[in-house]
Amino acid sequence: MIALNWYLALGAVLFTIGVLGVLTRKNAIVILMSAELMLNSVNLTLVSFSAHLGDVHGQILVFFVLCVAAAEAAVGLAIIISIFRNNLSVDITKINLLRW
Amino acid sequence: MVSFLLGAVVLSQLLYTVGSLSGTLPAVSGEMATVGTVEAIGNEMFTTYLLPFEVTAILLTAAVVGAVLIAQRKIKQQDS
Repeated sequence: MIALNWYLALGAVLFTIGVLGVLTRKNAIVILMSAELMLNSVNLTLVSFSAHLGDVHGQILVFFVLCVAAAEAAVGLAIIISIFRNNLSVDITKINLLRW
Repeated sequence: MVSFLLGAVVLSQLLYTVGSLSGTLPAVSGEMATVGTVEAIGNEMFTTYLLPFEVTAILLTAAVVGAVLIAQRKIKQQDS
């Protein structure tokens, strides 16, 4: 059996990669992928704690998080397609219509 | 001919790896047989969390319909 700490460390590393990708990348699709990476690292943490504590509720919570992540990815990709049709670019530095 | 040889090499490597690692899996204990299986998750999900499960179905349907509506090609306006 792999110890719990390794799963938690992997989840923390994946979450950090996701945060850095959201904060530094310019492409909107890459930002969506980084957000999904953060969601999945949290899922990994939930599943590892659920398996370690012998409780099923964590895995059920992971199921609902996956459903919400799928809905978010579908709507986000549709919004990116719409932005690309209007601006011919998905570079978020060029999309400053809502900037204050 | 070369691809056949490569396929044979890869297949032999796969068989060797699976054969050498087949005894290293941990034995299934009683706790592993009851916690984390599909049966345990399904029992909990379809009894206690039945209403949230149905709500996720509605959520996914609404998300797909919304995504198609946002991303579909705009229909050309007929001049009236």
